Amino acid sequence: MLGKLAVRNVKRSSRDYVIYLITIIISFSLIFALNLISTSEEVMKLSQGLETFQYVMYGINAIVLGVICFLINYTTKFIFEKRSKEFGIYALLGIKKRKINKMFLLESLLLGLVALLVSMPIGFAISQFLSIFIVKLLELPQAIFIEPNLKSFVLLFIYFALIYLLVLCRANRRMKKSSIHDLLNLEKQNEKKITKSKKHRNIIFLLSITLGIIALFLWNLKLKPEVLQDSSIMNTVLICFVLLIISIYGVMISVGDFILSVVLKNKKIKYSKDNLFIVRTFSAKAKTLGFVFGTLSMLITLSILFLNISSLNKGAYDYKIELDSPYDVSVSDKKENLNDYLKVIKEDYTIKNDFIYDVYQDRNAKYLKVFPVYEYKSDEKKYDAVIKLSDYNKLLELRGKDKITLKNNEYSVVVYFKHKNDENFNKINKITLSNGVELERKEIMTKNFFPRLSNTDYTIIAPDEAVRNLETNESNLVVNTVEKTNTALREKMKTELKDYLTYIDEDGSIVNTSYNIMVKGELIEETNTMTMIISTICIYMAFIFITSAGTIISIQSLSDSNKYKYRYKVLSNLGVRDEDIFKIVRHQLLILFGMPIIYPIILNFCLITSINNIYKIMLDSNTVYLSYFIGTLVEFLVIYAIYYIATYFSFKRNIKEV
Amino acid sequence: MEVLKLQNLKKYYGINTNITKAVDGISFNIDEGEFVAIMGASGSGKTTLLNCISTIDVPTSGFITIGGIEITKIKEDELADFRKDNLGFIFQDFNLLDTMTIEENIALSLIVNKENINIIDKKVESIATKLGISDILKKFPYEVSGGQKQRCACARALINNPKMILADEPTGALDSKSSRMLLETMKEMNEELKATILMVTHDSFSASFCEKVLFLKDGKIFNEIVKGEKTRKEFFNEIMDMLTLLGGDERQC
Repeated sequence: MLGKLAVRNVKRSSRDYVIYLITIIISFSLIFALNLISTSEEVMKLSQGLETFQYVMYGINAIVLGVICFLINYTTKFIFEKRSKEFGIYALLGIKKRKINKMFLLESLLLGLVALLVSMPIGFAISQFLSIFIVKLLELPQAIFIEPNLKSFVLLFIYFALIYLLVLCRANRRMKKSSIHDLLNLEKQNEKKITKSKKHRNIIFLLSITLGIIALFLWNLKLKPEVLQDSSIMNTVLICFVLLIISIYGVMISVGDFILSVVLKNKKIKYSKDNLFIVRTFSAKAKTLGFVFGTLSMLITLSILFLNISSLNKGAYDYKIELDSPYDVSVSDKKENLNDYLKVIKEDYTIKNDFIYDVYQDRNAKYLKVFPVYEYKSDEKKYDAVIKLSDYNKLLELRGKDKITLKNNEYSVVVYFKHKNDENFNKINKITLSNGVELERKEIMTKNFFPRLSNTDYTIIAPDEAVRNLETNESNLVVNTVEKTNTALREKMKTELKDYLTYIDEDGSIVNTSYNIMVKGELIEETNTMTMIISTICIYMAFIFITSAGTIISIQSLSDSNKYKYRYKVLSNLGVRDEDIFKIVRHQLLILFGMPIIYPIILNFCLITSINNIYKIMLDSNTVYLSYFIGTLVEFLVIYAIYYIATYFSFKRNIKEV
Repeated sequence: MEVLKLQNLKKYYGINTNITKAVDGISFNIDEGEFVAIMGASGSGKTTLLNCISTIDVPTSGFITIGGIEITKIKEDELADFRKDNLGFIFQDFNLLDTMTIEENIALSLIVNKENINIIDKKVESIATKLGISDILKKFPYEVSGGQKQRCACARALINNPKMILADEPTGALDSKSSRMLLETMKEMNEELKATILMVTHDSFSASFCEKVLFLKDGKIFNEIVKGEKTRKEFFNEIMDMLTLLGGDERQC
């Protein structure tokens, strides 16, 4: 009978249970999707490095497990509070608490199992989407199908068992600890304040901010490019994170009172517009929900951070591809050979466009002399590479970039941006080519540089007239194809043009020069492993964190909506129009949603700026990270806004219904 | 024969120096078939006392004996059985389950005890007729008036033939007409069904329906008056005078 009663109660409060179910389903779907991917053989075949990926995934799953545990525990607690009165009445009527408890636990477990079943197909669908995402990310030629495998099912069940063991233990303790009196009145109770004195809160606030600044400072101090070889970095990172976590919780617990005390002191601020109303709502929320908001802020901090790292990483990846192989195929060889290469490519691919250009030698080598490598180079290799302006412009055109111009007595240098700040390099502003032509420097360009341009770190671009009579060193062929290239092309060229690509040196050993061929498809396959690992993990974590944060905040406000129903009814009876009430609701929700994201955004901006210290050497420019930051912020806010809107509409429906 | 016996009952809240003595050494007896009210101003300890008696709350010290059983010594699990067999409850805010019809709410404790369905039906029918709610049995709590809800709660409290019914401000959420109807119902319950009722109230009109009124002040019994042969109106005036002495409640009748 008790079971029947419970079923009816669940039906009546189905809306609350829908939130509960959705939470669990999303959580398990994500876990399952990731299990599928990390155990999929198809994905493993992509590259050998992916074995590490698998192990990293297990670790990541452990963290995610923690977050999901928190989430499910939170929702279970929420449901328990909703139904506490019902349980209280049962207890009053003489049903043993043990029995009520058993019923509740069984119910939660059953719901969990249902969610588990539902989450399997959903998780499977998500895994296919993720695989599309991976394929897109890595620009792979064909899609991967993720097959369901036993291992991922087993893992899912283990995770499920672990989570529910913990959650049900907590629920069990919660029930045991509360008396009938508590149960009957739980719904009416406010959450407990964490600290009592207002003064304490201001101190906590300032202290937390200081801790945050210290952590950021430490973080910035330690994150230097050299750090990659330094193993002590992990300790610093760990300390920073602990400090940041304390800081986030501290700030979220105390910020309400701090702002209130500032506003109350200043009458001008206090009475302008609806400041007082907003601040009061804000601090009331912060006072009672400090801990929940702290957790939310942390989840949000992490999700923005992970999104950012993901896009930084993707940026670095794109930049590397663009830097190393801006064209689908590029070959350096003697001019007369190049057409044969083109022929081989044509056998399998449709050529979109192709171009052959010469690299000239300036034997005066004024630039090379400022580099220490000058000493070690053999005499025949002591030269500066020069390219005709028209050739360079044609190359730019093929990449879809703007052309450059030069006067007849001018030259420009394209240089790898690492050398941009080299003093000796910058000092040179006039050169005399080995054919006697004198040129003045127009500019030093780092944009559009790629090493294969002339196979050096810098290339001089000179007017077509000026290079006359200069020796040519080698010629380069660049080709863009309609189809995506792959490793096979390079292998084919290697075997068919063997004669061009090997020579016998003085010692009589065979030297292979197939490195003169660069095929974009091959490079992509080589580069993608790490990128994929980091990006997929980051996106996945970010997604889990955003969903958790969104769900918690949504549940929190919807549970409020039941309490607020009465207040809004009073307002309505007093003659406030519905539109105005909805406006208040929107403001209120905005505060609730906005509060936990402000501090994380500030923190993230600082964190990412420091991380950029490492990434900048792999990126297009020192400031490109800002665009990534804004981009990820937009991504985050869009998802967050969806939660906001959905919550607003359910809230509206809740307070309107009788 | 005494149903309830309290000996030096104490209930303190708070810790260290900040102790609230909600109930501070109360002793009294209630005999079978008595209808007793406990009165006092807000914060005088009425509800705490009732919660201790109804086993919802645990007293700090002292003894409570209901029907000869010392309830402070019963274990949590056995308490549930004890409540089921011995106590009925009526609350100010009804505490009905709005997922169930009035009929089901009344029958809840029987259903839970797995009684025979025919017996349940009969019992519910007879008690509903006595309390005048037989025509709303199929409705849900949100479809009926406050007075009807409270009578449903009375029926639920009565259905097990408990040794004692504990009522916490039963008229608190009702208008004066419904209050009067409810109190008359409770009086009938007391007189015809021989139910022993202990009611906590701050309303002297409600208290005037009882036979005995205990006055609480600061967690202690301040005074006790008995109706005896007086009319309800006379008894009401006497209660009012006592309250004036205590310093509360204005005159109304």
